[in-house]
Amino acid sequence: MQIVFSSTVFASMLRIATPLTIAALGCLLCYKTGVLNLALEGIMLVGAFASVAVVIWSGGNVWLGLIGGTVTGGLIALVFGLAVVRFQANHIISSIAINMLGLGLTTYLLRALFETQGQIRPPAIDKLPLLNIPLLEKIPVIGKALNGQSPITWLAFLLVIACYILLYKTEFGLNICAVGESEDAARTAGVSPERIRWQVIVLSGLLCGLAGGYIATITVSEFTENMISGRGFTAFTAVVFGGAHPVFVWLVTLLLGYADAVGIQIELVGTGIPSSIVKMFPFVLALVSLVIASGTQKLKSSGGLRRRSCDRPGRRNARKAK
Amino acid sequence: MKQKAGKPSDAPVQRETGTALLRAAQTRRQVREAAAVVLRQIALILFALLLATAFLALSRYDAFAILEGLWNSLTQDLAGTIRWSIPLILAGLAICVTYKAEIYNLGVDGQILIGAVAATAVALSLPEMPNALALTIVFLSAMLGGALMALIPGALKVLFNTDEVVSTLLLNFLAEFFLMYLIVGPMRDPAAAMRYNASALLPEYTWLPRFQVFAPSTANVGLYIALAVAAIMVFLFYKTRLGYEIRIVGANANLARYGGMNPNRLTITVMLISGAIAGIIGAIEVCAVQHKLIAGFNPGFGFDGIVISLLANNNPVGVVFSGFFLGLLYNGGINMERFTDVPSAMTDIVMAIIIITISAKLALPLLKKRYLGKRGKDTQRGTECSPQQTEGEGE
Repeated sequence: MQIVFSSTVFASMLRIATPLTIAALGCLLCYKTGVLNLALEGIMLVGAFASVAVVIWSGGNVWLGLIGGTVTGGLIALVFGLAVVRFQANHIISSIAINMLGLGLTTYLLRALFETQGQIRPPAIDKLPLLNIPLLEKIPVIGKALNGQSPITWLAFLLVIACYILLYKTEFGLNICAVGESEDAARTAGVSPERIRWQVIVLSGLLCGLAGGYIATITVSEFTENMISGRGFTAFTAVVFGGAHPVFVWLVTLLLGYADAVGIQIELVGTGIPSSIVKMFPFVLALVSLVIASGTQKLKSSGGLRRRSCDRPGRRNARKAK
Repeated sequence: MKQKAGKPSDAPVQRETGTALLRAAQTRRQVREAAAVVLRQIALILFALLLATAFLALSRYDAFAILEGLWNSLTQDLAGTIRWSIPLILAGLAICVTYKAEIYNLGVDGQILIGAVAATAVALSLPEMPNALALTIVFLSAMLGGALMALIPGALKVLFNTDEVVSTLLLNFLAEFFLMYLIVGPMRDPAAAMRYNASALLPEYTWLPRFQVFAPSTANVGLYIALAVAAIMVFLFYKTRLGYEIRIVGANANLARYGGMNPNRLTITVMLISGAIAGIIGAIEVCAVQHKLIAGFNPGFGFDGIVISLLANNNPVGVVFSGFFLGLLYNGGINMERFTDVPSAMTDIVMAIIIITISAKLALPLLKKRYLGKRGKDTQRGTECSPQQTEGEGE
């Protein structure tokens, strides 16, 4: 019990969930417009590499590194957008291509730019100031977990709210949902689906780049080949399980982070469970959640469950817009 | 078409010559289409290699390193090329059977691992017996292992409508961790050195023979297995009911449903076949190349299979050629890294470029313009088949 419900576990849950949340939000925006973005794995990897590279070149400036990762993520997303939007390529296959490109490009550049193989560690790296908020400390268990988090963790939380507002309270969000629900209707209403998709893909690229940068510069402060190792795919399942609603998706990423954190804790305590089995936790959880999500979806579409109005905020907004 | 031609004619002889003519025209058209596809794919490959060369030049490496690597692996190191072609051809086949039916099995990598696990487990527990018998048992169990692994996403899709794209991706990681668990724990060779995690060496009677001609290389008779599987796939696709259903479902799912085909059964069958082929890859890698189970023996054949299948337009005969080409690329990359210091990750970039250009049909508009433009000027006749052709070959 101590293992599963301590403030250390919650603190590490928040740390682990941060990049998942950020990447999942990007993926969510794409998902809403009907773009199946599985390329986040590769984009995150490129973001991670770029941020470490910038940190090295700038002599250890993490902020610059994160910005570099974000921008590079956006650039790689342009390639994805080119394939998916401009040339209407198959989303899944283009995603795989981007993932392959990300892996190849980072491994290649690691050799070409830094003449090293496998991994690279910046010689100097500033730590981001950790945020301590005195008021929060009063809350039992969670208070300690919330304190001493990096500003990016809070940024992720703010991004969730921003994403919610963007999707359900702005015209841009309305357009996003419209494109996803009926492309033709959106076109008739004078919204260009291509343009919206371009914007959303670039946004998701920026977010994934930031997420990758966070993992590389803040979580481990180094770049390793193929270091994202499935986080992008788990983020995608979070979007599916969370019904593509920012708040639910955020909760799911917390859950996935929690599974990971408990695994790490179990390993640290040394209960005798092999570490490879423990590492399966988040993936098993992601798979189970995927099955649950699709199962309920199937029931819903066959009329077994009454349709829950997940999209109500959007609809309310639509009425307001009139 | 045939009926139309047959109806008005009353003499049977005339009808026969009519159909024969039509059939000849049809074959000619098919040949022309196939030739167009082959040409296009070659153009795409050249385009990707050109980009890669430019990339190499930009990063101040020897610009022609990759082309040299390709040439050398064809002329000097054919054994290495064959060694890599075997798993790649099989991976391409595993992918193409699912893609033809519009199912995305991205879990071939995981199925390879589980196939290898099954092969190792069975091979280690077999009593001494003739080589052929032992290999049959080992390969069958590997196929079973891979098929069972593929059954999971297939069943989930049928039962819960779970997207097989994501579930297969997740299962890859589970398979990887499972393999790690086995070779660090229960299947680890107790006699192995401290840090070296691997299973015990397989008994020699379960080894798949290597080619004696290429003595030090690991090129093995798995090549014949790969070619045999390709031949079986050709038969399956074009001569059986299942193959017909796969092609119809892939071409038009609604038509298939109206035609009374059962998409669920098809999903399961296709996944099982795909997983079984993946299992064969695992068995070959274990029995012929490694002779034991180690982590990381699979550099991601499953995803490379996607490139192969796409290059071959999901055609099993084409897969043999594109699989061989990717074997060249693989081997060329490895040799390139060994001799010229250019990272072999370059091959990943080349593959990514190939996939993007194929799926985005980047080269198509150019070709279409050329092809149609020329035909339009020459004769008016050719136009009837050109639009269909350009539409059909894309996916």
